[in-house]
Formats: sequence, structure tokens, C-alpha cells
Amino acid sequence: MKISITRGWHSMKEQFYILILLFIYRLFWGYFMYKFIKSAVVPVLLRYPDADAGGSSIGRLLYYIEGQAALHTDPDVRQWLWLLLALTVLRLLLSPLSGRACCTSFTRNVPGSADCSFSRDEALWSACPAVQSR
Amino acid sequence: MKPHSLRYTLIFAALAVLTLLGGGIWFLSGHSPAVWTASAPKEAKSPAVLPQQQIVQSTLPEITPPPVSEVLSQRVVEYHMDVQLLADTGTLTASETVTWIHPGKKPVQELYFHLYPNAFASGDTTFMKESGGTLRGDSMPAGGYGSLTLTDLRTSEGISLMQRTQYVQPDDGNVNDKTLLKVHLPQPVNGGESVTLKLQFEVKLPKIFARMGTAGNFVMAGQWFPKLSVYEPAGTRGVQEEGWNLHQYHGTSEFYSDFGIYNVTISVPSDYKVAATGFPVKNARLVQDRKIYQFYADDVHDFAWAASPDFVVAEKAFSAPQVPGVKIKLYLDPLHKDLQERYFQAAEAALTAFSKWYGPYPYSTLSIVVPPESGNGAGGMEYPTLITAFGAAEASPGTSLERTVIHEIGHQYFYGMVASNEFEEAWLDESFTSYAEDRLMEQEYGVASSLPLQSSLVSSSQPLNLETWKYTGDDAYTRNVYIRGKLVLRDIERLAGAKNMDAILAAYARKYRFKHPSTADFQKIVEKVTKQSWQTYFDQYVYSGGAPDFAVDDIRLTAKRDGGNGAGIQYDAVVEVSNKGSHYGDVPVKFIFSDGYSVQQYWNGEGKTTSFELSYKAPLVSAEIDPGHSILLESKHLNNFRMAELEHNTLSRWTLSATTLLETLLGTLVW
Repeated sequence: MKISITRGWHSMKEQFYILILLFIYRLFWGYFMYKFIKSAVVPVLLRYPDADAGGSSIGRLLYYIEGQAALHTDPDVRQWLWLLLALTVLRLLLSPLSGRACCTSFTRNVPGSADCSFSRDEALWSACPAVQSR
Repeated sequence: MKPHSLRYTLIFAALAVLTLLGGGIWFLSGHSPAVWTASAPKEAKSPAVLPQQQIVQSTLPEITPPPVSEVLSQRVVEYHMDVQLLADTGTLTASETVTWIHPGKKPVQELYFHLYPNAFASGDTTFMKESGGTLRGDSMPAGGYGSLTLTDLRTSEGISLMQRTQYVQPDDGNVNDKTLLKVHLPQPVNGGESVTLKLQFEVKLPKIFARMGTAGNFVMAGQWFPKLSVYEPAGTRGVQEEGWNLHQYHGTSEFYSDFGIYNVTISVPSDYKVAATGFPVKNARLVQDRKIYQFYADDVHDFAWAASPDFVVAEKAFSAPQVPGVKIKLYLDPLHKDLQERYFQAAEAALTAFSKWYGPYPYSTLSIVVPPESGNGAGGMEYPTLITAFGAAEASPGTSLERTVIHEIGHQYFYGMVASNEFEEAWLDESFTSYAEDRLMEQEYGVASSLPLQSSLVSSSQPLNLETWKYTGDDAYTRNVYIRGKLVLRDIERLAGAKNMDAILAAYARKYRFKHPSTADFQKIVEKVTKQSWQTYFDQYVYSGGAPDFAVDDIRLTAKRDGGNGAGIQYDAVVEVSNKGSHYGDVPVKFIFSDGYSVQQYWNGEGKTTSFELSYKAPLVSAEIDPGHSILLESKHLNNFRMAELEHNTLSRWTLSATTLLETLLGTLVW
């Protein structure tokens, strides 16, 4: 157990740049996602005719009806939804690439684990820090 | 013998003189049928008048039906039709003799017939392509196609014209569309002259999804016969040059026809009951296993009938101050047999109110057909003196029952008598009827429409006088023609005043009774009653798809300051508002402050943007344009309200929650 922990610690030190890369990746992703979500939350909250802010019940009903319609018709809303889809696809592509890269790098320095073939993918994924961190 | 002969001669001579004198006095005293016709009661063809007509008719041999009545319209067409329903095959076999009296001046060499049933001939017709085989939520049942086949076409002299016909497609050039037929006449018809054609045709009725056809043993024969197009003399609806108004049957279009006389004999299986435009000339008679009805209608521009062995029939005579005498006839699906009173009550309310507002109901009958649920596609439709309610889907429907009946009876005015062109200016019948319907529903049943909600539906504002098939976008035809047009009328009412609006509609309905008005004609009436120009308004909201779009763009709160003179702390705010759409004046803007105080100011609407500067002892919380939702032509209310600022904690909580939720969802997709 102690040997495994030590080996893992050493391995991590040797792969420190991966840690930094992953950190930056997740930092940027989180930052931009937060900004992106905020760009939608701000107008949604600003335009909501809350009763405490003097809004009327008919105003709130119109808000919901027109909000639902805007999902199909409003160009700004549609642009935001398309961007959300694009970000999802980007994440869908980036995550496995980064996971695979990290895994390859990680196993390269482990004796007897140089093979990163498909047949061993399952075992490799489970050893991958990116996967474990989730 | 001689004296005897002389005495007889003298007696005969005296009798002859007496007869001549008596005849002359009778003639001069105005008892000839012609003079009786001219002096007939002006208000209506009430049942009370009919016996007199029949007395006159009884002295004339072989004249059916009794057409002696006041002429209310320019009767351009006269149809005599004989139709047999073959219920087993769902077909109609018919003959038609149609006379057209040239209402213009220039010689005419061609006649045009609408063959509306051909809209359902295949999936490639203009109607089917535009509608996608679905109308108002009802889809064509499998194998539900139908069509009209012209088997013979002759002049009154017997010359066949079958080789002189051609299908034309003036709107889209779709060669698969055979809903408009051109007939080249051997001789031109000069203005004022008439031409008579004899037609034989068969109709394979489609399965009902769009107004006409069969559903089980229920038959709705609307737009079922070759019907002449409208020839518009110069000046009609503002046309500069006289000519035919020609359109195919479109997915969204309805109809346009000239007034005239219809004399129709309908033969159905003996167990069927028939409802039809006009009134029965005589009781239905049984001939072998067939029942034969004969109906007559004049001063109408269409003839429709419905038949079913299942109809539960009820009748009621009704009169009111402006309704001299009408027989209201119900032809109910059995599911609604216990709802007779509701139908009668709605019909009476509609006839009473609309006759008071828009002029007397001049016909002696009004038939209400309630189709079965499977025939709902035939429901909610208007024909002269005959309407259909929605299909009987439930035993105890809500007030949609009354609303539909009232709407369709409203069409007896805006469509039936004020016969606008439904191809080109559908709002003149649908919007006007919807306006009248709303008003009566509120007055009679206390059911008010939520107009702000309806205005929200008009997401794509388009001109109201657009040809119906040119509306683009989801349901744009319905939302503009039914809803936006009605809201425009409500807005005109707001601007002109309720009394003026009543006067406008009354004047319009009376002036264009039994005529073909245009939007411009309506505008002239508005201007005449209000004594001011409405050109800018009509240009923006009627002839164009104008709509205001107000927005609170920004609210800037400036630092609090001491107001001095003991006023304490004052908070300043600058509110930027704009109108991104059409001009609209006197817009209320409401400002709400954190202590609950609110103040309303008005923007005169000039320019695209303006700003309000406020200073108060409490900070501004929000601003809202048109808080009462009185501007009915605005469809986008989302940006009318704006908070001054968001609390930091609220914003963070919402954003973090949404981000975490999204990350979790993404986590299920990516690995």
C-alpha cells in the first residue's frame, strides 16, 4: 500500500504539467460557463415582473407565455441556445481527448503499462485522474 | 234566333266592357305582381310575407319557386340545380343551369368557374400543398380524397362547350390544381346581357377535414357545385379596370362570390334529413326510396346543404325589433339533442344584437347544423342562412358552443351581406366578426377575452389586406386575420371612442350591405364618421404589419445625495425607454420605488427613444411601460418591464444554481 502511494506520488510529480493543464482547462471552462450562464440569467431576472417589484399577475403570465414563444422565435435567445449547443459539443470533443492524452502520458512511465490500446481502455480510464476527479 | 242572338251579343259586349274596366282599375290600383314586388316590405323576407307571395304565384302556372320579393342585391347569378346524393358511394350527381348577367360594360368572352372540390383531388393541389392536408387541427383521413368531374357543359342552345374549357392557375401556376376552370364562350356577352349555361357534374365527396365531405353518414355539401367567379365592374373594391377576380382554392383562403338566386332540388335516401341555405319551397316528398327537398334562396352568394339520417331537428320562430321573423332550425348531432335551448338562446342573442347593431336580418330562416365529432372539420363554418357549430365531441361543452354559434351568425353580416373578398381581404369578415363576437359574448355571457394574451400570440405582424396564402410563418394567417385585425378594431375603438366605433360599424354594414367593400371603403367610413384622416394609422397597422415594441432599455441609479432644505436623502434615477416598432402616442410608464410608492408618467411617443429623470426619497425598484396592457397592438411585452438592479446575492445564487445544473447535465453526456 505504502509502495503504491509512494509510486503514485512520484508519478504525479513527474506529470505535474498535466495537473496544471487540467487545472487551467477546468478553470477556463468554469469561468466562461459561469459568464455564459450569467448572460442569460441577468435579463431573465431583470425582466421578471416580480410582485415585490411592482409587477402584475397578468404581466407574469405574459412573461411566461412570451418567454416560451421566444425560445422559438427570438433571435437573441436562439443564438444563446445555439451557443450552448456548440459548447456542449466542444466539451464532448475536448473531454475524451484530454482524458486520453492524460492517460497515455500517465501510463507511459509505468513499467509494463506502455500499451494504451483499445482493449485496455477500460482499465486505463479507471486509472485516469481526470476521470477520478469527477 | 236573331233577337235572341242580339241579346246574347249585348250581354257579351257588356261583360267584355266590364271585364276590361275592372282589369284596368285592378291594374292601375297597383295589384299587378310587378307592382306588388316593388312595394314589398323592405325590412325582411319574413315568413309572414311568404303566403302573399304564394297567392300571387298560384295564379301563375309552372313557376317554381316563388321568387316574388324585394330585390335586395344586384342579382348577378341565377342557379337552378338538381342534385342526388348517393350515400353508399359518397357521391353527388347533379345538373346545373346557371345564368350570368354581365354586371360590367366590356364584352366578355370567357366565364370562370370555381370547382372547389378539386382541391382534394390529390396531394399535389395548391390547397393540399399549402395546408399539408390539415386545416384548423383536422387532418385528412386516409384515402379521403375527392373531386368534381364535369360531365357536360352546354349553352342554352345546346352547343357543347366541353372542348372550350381550360383549367387555369392564376396564383401559383400549379398545373395539378384544377380548382378554377375557364370556359371560352362561342359569343361574347355584352354589358347588361346574360348568358345561360347547362352543366352536368359528379362530385366524389372527400372525407371531411376541410369544410366539405362525408363523415360516416353525415354529409356536408359546402362549395360543392361549379360556381362562377366574381366579375368586378370598375369601381368595385377600388379596381380601376373591370374584370374577373380569379383565385384558386388555397390552404388558408375562403371564398368570394356574387349575389343571386338559388333554386335547388336535393334528392337523398328516404331516411336522411336535409338542412340547406334558404327556405323549403314545399314539404319534402317521398318518391320510391328517395326523399326530395326543394330549397329556394335569393340575395345570397352561396348555397350549402348538409344531410344525415341522425339529425335531431328542432325549430323555433323568433322575432325581435330588427328581426321581423326568422325560423331558427337546429339540425343536431344526437349527442347534443338536450342542448337545444343553448343553441336557440345563442342564436336569438346573436340575431337580436347584430340586427340592432348592423342592420336587420333579412332572411326568413337560419339553420344551425351540429356535425358529429368525426365531422368536426365541417364545423365552425358560415354559409348564407346556414351555419355549422363545432362537432359534437362532448355532451356538455363550455361556452365555446355559444361562442362558435355567435361567431358564425356574425358572419351572416360580415361575409353574408357585407360580402368582402375573402381571398384578398379576409380580415374584413374574420376580424369584424371576431370583434362583434367578443362584444356579444361579454354582454350576453359575461365572458371577456383576455386581449393582452391574444396580442402576445401575434408574434409575426403582417398586413391585414394580404392575400391569404401570402402570410408566412406559423399560423400567421389565423393570428393576423382573426386576432390582430380584431385588436386593430379595438384600437380604433379606443382612439375614436366607443360611440363613434358603433357608428362606424353601423354605417359600414349598412352602406355595403349586399355589396363588395374593400379595406379602403372601410377606411373612408372611419374618416367620414370621425371627420379626420386615418391614413397614417391605416398605413401603419392595416396596410402594413406595423406594431409598436416598447422597451425599458436601461435604468441608471446615481449616488444618493442630500437634497438640502431638510429634504433628506434623495435618490436619482435615469430611465431610458424606446419604441423599436411603429409609432404610437401617449404611452404610460410606471415607476415603482422601494417604499411602495409608484408614479405614472406619459411618453408622447415622438422619436424612437426618450429618458425619464426621477428623484425621490427612496431608490427606484422598477419601471414598466403600459402597466395596464392597454396597448393592444403590441405583441412583445417581455421587454416592457425592467428592474432597476439585481441584488448581488440573488444573481449569484441563480447563476451558480443554473451553472451547476448545466454541469450536471453535461456530465451525463460527456466523460
